[in-house]
This record gives sequence, structure tokens and C-alpha cells, in this order.
Amino acid sequence: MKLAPNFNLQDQTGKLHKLDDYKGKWLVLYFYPKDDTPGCTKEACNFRDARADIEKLAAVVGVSKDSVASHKKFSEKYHLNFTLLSDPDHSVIEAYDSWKPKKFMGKEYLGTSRNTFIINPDGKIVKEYLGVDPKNHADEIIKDLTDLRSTF
Amino acid sequence: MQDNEQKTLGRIITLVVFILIIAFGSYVIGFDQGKSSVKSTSNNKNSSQTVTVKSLTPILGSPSAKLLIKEYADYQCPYCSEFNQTILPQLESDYINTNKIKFQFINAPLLGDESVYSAAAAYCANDQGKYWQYHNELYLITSQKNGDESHPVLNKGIFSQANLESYASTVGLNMNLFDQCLNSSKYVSTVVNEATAATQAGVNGTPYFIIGNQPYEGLPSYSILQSLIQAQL
Repeated sequence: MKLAPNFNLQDQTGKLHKLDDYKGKWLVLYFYPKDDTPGCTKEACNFRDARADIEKLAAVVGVSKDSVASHKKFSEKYHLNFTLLSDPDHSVIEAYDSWKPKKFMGKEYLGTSRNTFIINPDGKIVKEYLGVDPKNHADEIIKDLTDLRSTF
Repeated sequence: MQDNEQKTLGRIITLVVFILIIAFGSYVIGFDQGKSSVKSTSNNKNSSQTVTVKSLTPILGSPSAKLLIKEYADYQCPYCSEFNQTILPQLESDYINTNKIKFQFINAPLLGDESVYSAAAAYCANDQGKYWQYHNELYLITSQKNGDESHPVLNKGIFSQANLESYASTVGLNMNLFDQCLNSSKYVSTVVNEATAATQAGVNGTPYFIIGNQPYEGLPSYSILQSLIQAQL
């Protein structure tokens, strides 16, 4: 179990959130490439996030390199009341080792990986999901959170 | 009669899919791959067998326009329909009609049989020079009929053969030629190959854009799209 790297980032309303704010709580911190990417996969058409159910078990915080303004617009457009943190210089994304080379049609570029971390009330990363496949992700987190909470 | 035609079309699709399964071994054309198909391909011993297929859709805009935007999309996908209904018209008036960009729609029929049927039907309309009219009609239908965006009605007959014919008649296609094209399943294997090629290229969901050299996954807002375009003009 390693300590979760600290962060101090603005949410969509401009309010600062730091890791310490979540001390004593379970936290699901997830990194995603970009706001405003609703779309369809074979399995589902969605925002690729099913945060509402998880919020019953833990605080849920999303981080991307989008600006505060982009997060604000995104959450207004889709009536989201989730906390979305803005990490424009991707320093927190990097601290969580989630800033990675990606490849598309032979071209390489750097971008945010879809990674999720469960952080326990002591501020330790107790579970990480790397290269998240969004389709069953919410169910998986709910199951793991339930188990983790029962043994904490 | 319609049922028989539907069955024939279904059988042909099944046959084509079967052939592809044989051709690609365990890599079942990406339909059942939840993970990135780029990853799946690279983990697969048959990864050298990349499917390439040329899209038959007409490019929108001037061939000499500096920037090309490609959209990988599915006719059943409500977010693709939202793009077509709300964002593409703005793109046309601001960038396409002013010869700054050209736009290409590429089939990525990932959502099931009716995605394949509808894309093949659009190619039949293209044979009659009415690709965009038919394309717009299909997306109009998707926006009207397939329910809540996050829970669309998929593969339940909105794009059945009978309905595809009725939409063709709405846009004034020659119905004899259209039926002939549909019944012969002329474009089904092309479209199935396009689905394979799209997933192999890393398209896991639709819409998926390549703006110049910049990939963008999902439905962008117009302002995001504009900033991606402006950065490359």
C-alpha cells in the first residue's frame, strides 16, 4: 500500500480540493482523457462514467487536463453534479503515473490514461485499475469498495 | 416476402462474419473485444493481418481544403446523430463551405446488425448520387426514434429492410434500383470490413474523429471542435 500523491486542484466551480480534504473518507479518484466525450460502444451509449452508484460508498472525484471553464460547461451541459478537477499542466496526472504515450494509426502522442484509484481513509492507495475498460467498471468498483470497506 | 429478404440478408451477413472469423482466428473482428483493439491486435499473433478498406462515401467540401476531418460513426448511435444534426451544419457553414476543411464520414458500424444494414443501404443511395440525402434521413430517424440518448433502441427494427426502403422512398430514390442493391447485399461485406478496419485502427466507440492529425474520441462540443480545427489551420 503506497501513500496517494497529494493534489491541490480546482473543481468546476473554482473551489480547491486537496487530498487531505478526503482524510477519513473513502475516495475514488479517476483520471480521464477529456470532458465532453459522450459516445457509443457496442455495449452502451454513455458518458463512460457511472459515478452516481459509487457515490453511495465513497467520494468520487474525476481529474482531467481540461480547464475549469471546460469542466463547468461540461457539468452544466449534462447536468452533472460530480466533482471534476482541472489539472491543466497534468502534474497530478503524472504523479499518479497516468500521463502516457498513446498511439493512434502509428502516431504517438501523450495523453491521460483512463486509470482509477481507490484511496482509503488513511490516504493510501488500496486498489488501482489501469487502462480502465469503462463497460463494467462501475460494477467492479462497487464490488471492490464493498469488500475493502468490510475489511478496513 | 420482407421476412425472407431479411433472412437472406441476415444469412449473408452471418456468412461474411463467419469467413472473417476464420480469416482472423481468435481475433473475432473486434466486436467482442472490450479492451482497446490496438492492444488486442498487438497481443495477437495474427496482428499482421490488418484489414484495409476504402470508404466509398463522398467527401464533403473542396478537395483542395487544407484540413481533413474524418468521422467514424454508426447510424444507430444517438451521439453520432447529434453530431450530424447539430454540429455538422455549423461546421459546414463556418469551415466546409468556405473551403477551409473537408469532411469524410467513415462507417464504423459497431452497434449490431442494423448498423451494418443501414450503412450498406447508404452506399446503395450513393449509387444513385443521393448519399448525403439518405445519410441525413437516417440520422433524422435516429434522433427521432431511438429514445433516450444513453439508452437507445438498437437493432429493434428502426433500420429493418422495410424501413430502410421507406426512408429511401422519402428521399426520392429510384426504388427498383435501391431494392436491387439492398437485396443483392452488394455492400454488406464492404461495410463489415469497415467495422473491422475501424476497430483495428483503435476506434472503440462512436463517434470518433480525426481532425487533421488529432484524434478525438466521443462527441465534441462545437467550441472544442473549433479549437482543434483552429490549431491546425
